[in-house]
Amino acid sequence: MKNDEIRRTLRFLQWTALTFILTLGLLLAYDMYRSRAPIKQAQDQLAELKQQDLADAKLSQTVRDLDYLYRSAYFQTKDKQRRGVLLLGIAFFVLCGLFGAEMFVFAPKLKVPRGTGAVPEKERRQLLVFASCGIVVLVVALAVLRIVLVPAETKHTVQPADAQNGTSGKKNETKPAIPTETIDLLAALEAEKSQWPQFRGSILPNANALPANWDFQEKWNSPVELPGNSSPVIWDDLVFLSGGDGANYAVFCYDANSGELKWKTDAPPAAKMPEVTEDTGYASPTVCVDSKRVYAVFATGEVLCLGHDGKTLWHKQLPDPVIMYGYASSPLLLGDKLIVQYDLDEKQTVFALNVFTGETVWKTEREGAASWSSPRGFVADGKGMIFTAGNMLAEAFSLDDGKALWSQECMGGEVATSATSNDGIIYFSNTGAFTGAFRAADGEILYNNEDVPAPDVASPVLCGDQFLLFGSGGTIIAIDAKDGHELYEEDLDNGFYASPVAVDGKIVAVNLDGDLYAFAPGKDKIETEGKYSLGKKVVCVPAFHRGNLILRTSENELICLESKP
Amino acid sequence: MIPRLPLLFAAQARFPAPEFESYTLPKMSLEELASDSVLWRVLLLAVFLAAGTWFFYKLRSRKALLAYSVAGLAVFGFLFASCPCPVGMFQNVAEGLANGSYIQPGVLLLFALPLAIALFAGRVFCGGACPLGAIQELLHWKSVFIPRPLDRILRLIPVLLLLIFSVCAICGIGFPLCYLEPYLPIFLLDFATPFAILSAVFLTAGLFISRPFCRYVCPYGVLLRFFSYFSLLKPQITSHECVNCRLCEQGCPNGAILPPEGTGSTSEHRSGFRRISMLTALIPFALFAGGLFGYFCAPVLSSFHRDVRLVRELDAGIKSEAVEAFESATTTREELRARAIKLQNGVLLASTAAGVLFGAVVMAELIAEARRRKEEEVYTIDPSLCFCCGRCYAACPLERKEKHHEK
Repeated sequence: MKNDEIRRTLRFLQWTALTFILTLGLLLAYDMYRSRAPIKQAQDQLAELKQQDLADAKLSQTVRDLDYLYRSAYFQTKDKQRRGVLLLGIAFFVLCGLFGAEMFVFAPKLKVPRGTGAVPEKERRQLLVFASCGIVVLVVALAVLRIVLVPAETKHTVQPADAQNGTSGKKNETKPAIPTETIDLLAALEAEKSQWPQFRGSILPNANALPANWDFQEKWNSPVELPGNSSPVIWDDLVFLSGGDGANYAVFCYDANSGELKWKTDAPPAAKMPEVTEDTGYASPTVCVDSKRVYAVFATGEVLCLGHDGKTLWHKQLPDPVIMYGYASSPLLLGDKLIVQYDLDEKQTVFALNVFTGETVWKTEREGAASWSSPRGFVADGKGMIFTAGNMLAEAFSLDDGKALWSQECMGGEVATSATSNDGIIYFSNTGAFTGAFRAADGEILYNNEDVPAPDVASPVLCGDQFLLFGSGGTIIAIDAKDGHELYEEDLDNGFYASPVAVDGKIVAVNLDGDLYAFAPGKDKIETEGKYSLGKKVVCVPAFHRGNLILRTSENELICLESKP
Repeated sequence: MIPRLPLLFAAQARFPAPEFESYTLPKMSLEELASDSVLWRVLLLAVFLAAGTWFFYKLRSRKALLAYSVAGLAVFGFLFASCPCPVGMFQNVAEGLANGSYIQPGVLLLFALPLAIALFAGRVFCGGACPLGAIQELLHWKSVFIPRPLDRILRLIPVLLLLIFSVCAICGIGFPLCYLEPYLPIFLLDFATPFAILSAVFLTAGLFISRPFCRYVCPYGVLLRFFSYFSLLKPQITSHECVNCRLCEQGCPNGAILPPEGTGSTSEHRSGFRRISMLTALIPFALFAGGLFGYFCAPVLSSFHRDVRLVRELDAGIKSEAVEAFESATTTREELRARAIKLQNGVLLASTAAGVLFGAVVMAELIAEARRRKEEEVYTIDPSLCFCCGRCYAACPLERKEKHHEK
């Protein structure tokens, strides 16, 4: 065979291989693209069929047949594609071989060189020109990199959380304090009795005195800069509460005697504004306070710990609280742990945070759906325990390690109220869920009265041997705490959103009109021992301070009421 | 950014596992082949490099070197699926050395062997043992010559890439350079876009521009180039007296043949002196500009890291899969932010340092190219740019004559 013929043959084979590669490549690409849609359709169709009653043998067989059919088609397609790709690889190799063969067989044709050849000196001058152009290209490329690749709003860098709002890192120190002390749970609970440290007061029966009479006068009235449905809490002579409007979140401290604003500390800016309804707001969880620290949780999932002087000791961001209406559960302070019931739309978790550092001591995931209930603490056999009510389960956890001690699948609906406890029994009531009692030790349901209309916002209260429900329609129902049967029912003019509290054998409750009541539960009716009309809407729980009442109104006021002499 | 490019039909559609109660997924087991052993690969590579050196320096045969390329493509490209990969192994070793993590001795040997041979015999590895070099060598059709000065400027791109991806590997950003390995779809037989498109672009360019990846992308090539500069054996176009026919210069598509350097006139010497003086004076500015360049590139580089990207998505309120995964994890935003800031600061430092180094390399290259070479009356080979393909041997009439006589 002459050289020309060999070259022609090689060229022909090269072009054939190249055409084959291009054709096969395009066909394979098209086939891969095309085969995606039927797979999706098949999966959708199967999913649709599986939604139906698969107990039907005929339907079940149809599903199996279709599944087999689709699966076979899928794998046959994949096999076919795999063979195609292998063929493509072989063609590539053959093409390389053919190119190599041509170079192997034929020495390069030598042509008479054109021109005068490279002139090094000229090339060196050109080099500098090209280098200058290269620098220009590099500068332009850099500018494009800056503009195109990095979104302008991120400013190229990850900003520290406290720098995002323009506040200095020193102002809001986030470094957690090193724990240097321990907190005895029982002693702490005992100390709280004479204070008003958290949502609905102290865990143990509160030792504050009731006002001398129900004929009040305003001792002071201070505006609160930011709105919120969180209730005021008190430690010694300091009143703490939180507020937020979506853009700003803060904790406020007032002097309980004068109403003077002592300090206000802003929470770190939220990365994302939560979606909340007007009723819930951005600061519904009531803050907790102990002898040294204040703990606030906001609708953003931000947990903030401050000293009594307003300095930030630590803060922590919990996962984004995506929950219908907005996050509203108040934290629970039990010794050296801050318990946060975090029942979101997708995931329900109970967090125990170290009060000194904010670190998660334990977290326990729960089953169910979103709820707005606050956890309840109690002590059994000298050990701290936590009761949570969610949308499905009533559960108790060990304070030490977060292990579930018992659970009852007796809840449902939108659970927003919180439990109360006494003498080893937990009482709970929420509309559509449960109205009854559990034995704290093992969770046994002692009774469940499904006949009474249960409250949907205000938490039930225990007073003596009566378990009382304050509805948002204005109905008060008393239940015998021992066996759960209804004792009596009373209708008032307006309903209750603020949870009633029991102090000194009386029940103090405030309705949506701002009527402040002192009730004494009788045998067959509830006695109204005092009524005072604020004339302003109130949804927050009143706090007690040396015979005075401190209330937050929905008009962004903090009011201290004292009995007239 | 490259990792965010739409993968079109890259992700394989998958059927879920059967839901029958009695069904259990079969256990996957991969049978280990002899070729999977890294040491076996090292041994084979050593044999190849030895053969390549023999073909290039002793046989001086273009045909033997072509066979070397075909064999390298078959073995290291298709059989071992692009191993040794000049892209991946460089990043593996860089990360391992920087972070103190364990590097397999075999991987280290694969990395070091071509460099050691480069010190002895130049870039024999690029000639055919490197699967990427082999495929480019074979799939080159008609040469379009890049002017030598432009070629020298473009050859700074791999230096830049080497530094950028060293920063990425050292700072734990990952191996983004692997996305730029254009021939991998062919070796893995997985033509997923956009990598297949990149393959097609490089293959098409390679038909006309010799070894576009080796010359203008390959970061490992920068190291080989550096080591080859000091190579013990220097390739010679012909063992006879060169007749300055310029055929070799036109036969080498890689710009590795250097023209003769004459004595030069006084004015040439003076202008050369001015050039060198000017470039030397520019060194501090180049270092500063390089540092600035690195400083500005740092946020772009750090944005490749998952933590930084996640914080930015969280700050921007983007609801991505990563954000959802983060929200269900135990890490807090503070911890994540602290990690991202730490990484960002590390990248800033490393990138600025790399920028300064790049400025230094650019100036060193420019000065080296701008100065007059040692006087030489004949055409010579620059060992640091020569890919040991043997084209110049085939183009040299003296060599061809000798081969003819041998026959």
